[in-house]
Amino acid sequence: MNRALQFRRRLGGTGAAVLLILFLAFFLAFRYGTETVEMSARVAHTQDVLSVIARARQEDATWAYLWTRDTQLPELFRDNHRRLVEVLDHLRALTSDEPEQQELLDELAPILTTHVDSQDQSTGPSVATAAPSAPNRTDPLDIAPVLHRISEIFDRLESQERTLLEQRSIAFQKNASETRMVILAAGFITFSTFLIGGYLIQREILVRASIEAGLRHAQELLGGKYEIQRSELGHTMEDLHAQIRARQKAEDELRSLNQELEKRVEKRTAELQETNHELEAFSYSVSHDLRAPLRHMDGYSRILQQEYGPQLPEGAQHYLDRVRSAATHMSELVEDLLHLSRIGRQVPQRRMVCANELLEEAKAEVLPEAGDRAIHWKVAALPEVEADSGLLRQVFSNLLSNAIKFTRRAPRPVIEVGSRKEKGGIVIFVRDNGAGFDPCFADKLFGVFQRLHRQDEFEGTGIGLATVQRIVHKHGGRVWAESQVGQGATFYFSLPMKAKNGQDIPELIGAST
Amino acid sequence: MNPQEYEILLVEDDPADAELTVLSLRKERLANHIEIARDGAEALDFLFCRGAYAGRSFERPPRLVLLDLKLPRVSGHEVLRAIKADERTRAIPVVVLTSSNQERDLVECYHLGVNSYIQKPVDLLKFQEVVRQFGMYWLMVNHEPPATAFTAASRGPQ
Repeated sequence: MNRALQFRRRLGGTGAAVLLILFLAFFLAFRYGTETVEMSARVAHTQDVLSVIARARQEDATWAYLWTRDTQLPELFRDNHRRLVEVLDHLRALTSDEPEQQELLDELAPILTTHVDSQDQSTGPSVATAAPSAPNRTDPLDIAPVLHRISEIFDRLESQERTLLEQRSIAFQKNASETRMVILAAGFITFSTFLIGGYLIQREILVRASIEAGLRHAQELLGGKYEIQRSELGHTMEDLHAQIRARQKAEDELRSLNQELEKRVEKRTAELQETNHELEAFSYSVSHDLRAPLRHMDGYSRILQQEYGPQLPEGAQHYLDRVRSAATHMSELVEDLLHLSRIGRQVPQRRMVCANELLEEAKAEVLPEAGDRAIHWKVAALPEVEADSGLLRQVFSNLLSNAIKFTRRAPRPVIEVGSRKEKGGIVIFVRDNGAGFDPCFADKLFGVFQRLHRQDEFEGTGIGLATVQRIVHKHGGRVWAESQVGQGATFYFSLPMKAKNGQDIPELIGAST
Repeated sequence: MNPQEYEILLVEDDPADAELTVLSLRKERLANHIEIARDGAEALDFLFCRGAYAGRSFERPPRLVLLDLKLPRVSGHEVLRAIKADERTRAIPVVVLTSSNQERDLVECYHLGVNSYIQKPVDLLKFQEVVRQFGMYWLMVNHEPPATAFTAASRGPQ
């Protein structure tokens, strides 16, 4: 817990207790003090009563008169008696809280009144007649018990009051000593509270001072670290700003590069379109114009042989054959090139087609190339595939034509066609037991004009497999071959299933080799 | 048959090609009278009896037109279009004899109403065989349009 809060809570509790104790101590001291004052007042009061009683006793003219019957005394007696009555009234008021004294005073009052009245009667005529007072004189013997009784009452009054005084004095003494004790105790408590409080506060101050010192130390340490970190942060920020600037610059460059690239792409696209047009014009021109000279070469050589054959020496016949076969080969090249170029521009129209049907059509087309050789065909049931029927037929006819060509020297030629399922599509293969090829050159197989056999071994233009590859790529598939020299060859091509959204699978990059 | 009648109009700019074609036709004895036009304009003059051929009559058209497509001045396509667009020449059978097997040529020619489309083989023996076949067909097997097909046309639509 927080130390300050803890201290505050402890201080609050202790402070409340101390305040309560101090309050109690002072309250007791105050009460005892007040009681002492009251008691001292009571003692003084009792002393007053005693002095009043003494004064009443001193009003002895009454007694003298009663005793002497001296008529000379009436005036003095009257004053005396009046004062006595006043004193007694005073005394009655003073002792109103003491019933015993009241009783005594009640007894005293009628006694005094009776005697004074009788005196008045006797003195009256004497004043008027100024004569015989003797017959009215009270007998001293009659008076004696009354006086005795009065004296007795006074004695009792005095003794009771003295007893009271003594009691009150003792109580006062006791109270005074208790008051001293209480004040002493209150003082002690106050003093010790101050001491303890002071000690606790002192201790707290010391603890706080040490904490403060620790804190200051920590702060200094932290300050140092903070400074280091701040400077590090400053560096980092600078680095960051530099990076941001560099990135912005890079982005600007990238943007301008992109714009340039877009312009280039536009330009290149325009160029490409132009090239395409040129290519089309070229192939059109090739189609029309390149064949004519070949036809003339072949035509005139043939006419020469037809019309002047018998007159020509053997060598001339042979040379004319060479001219004609060159023209024929050139014509095939032109034909295949035009075909390849046409496939390049063609967009495949893909739909579900029966591969076996197309295979049979292709087989019928190329079978004449086998001549009278007996070929053993092993054609498996092929699945329906999603392809352009014309193009797929072309693939089959090229592959079968190759197989027929390269099994020419095989004693028992076998051509096998089959398929297998593959992830996302199907793989179809055409296998033969013909001449085969060196697998080192397998990657050259599908390039245009690439041939792995000499023309005098197996004739060809080197365009057939390039055409196969182009068609398969246009369908989103792959084409590859496996072989060993003299062990036959297997050509594979895959046909992926068409994407579900109905769009054609884009032609692979590099498909247009 | 009137010996003045031209049996075949050969429209061919290349003299070698023209010679080989004529040799092949003669070899089969398919045509006695062959007129050769060296470009499209000349062919149109002949067919529409104008210019150098102003003395000719629409009523004596050639029995067959052998038309090359790639020609100077006026192309084979335009000659074909002109022939098939005019009532007076529309009935003349036109055989396109060309090096090209380009799809767009085939499509265009058939759209214009060509009667036959033949690609010239490079091999002379094959060419001679082709010439023999179409010559036999168009000049011997096929019934040629009657003379009224041209005279009626010249009077306007019936």
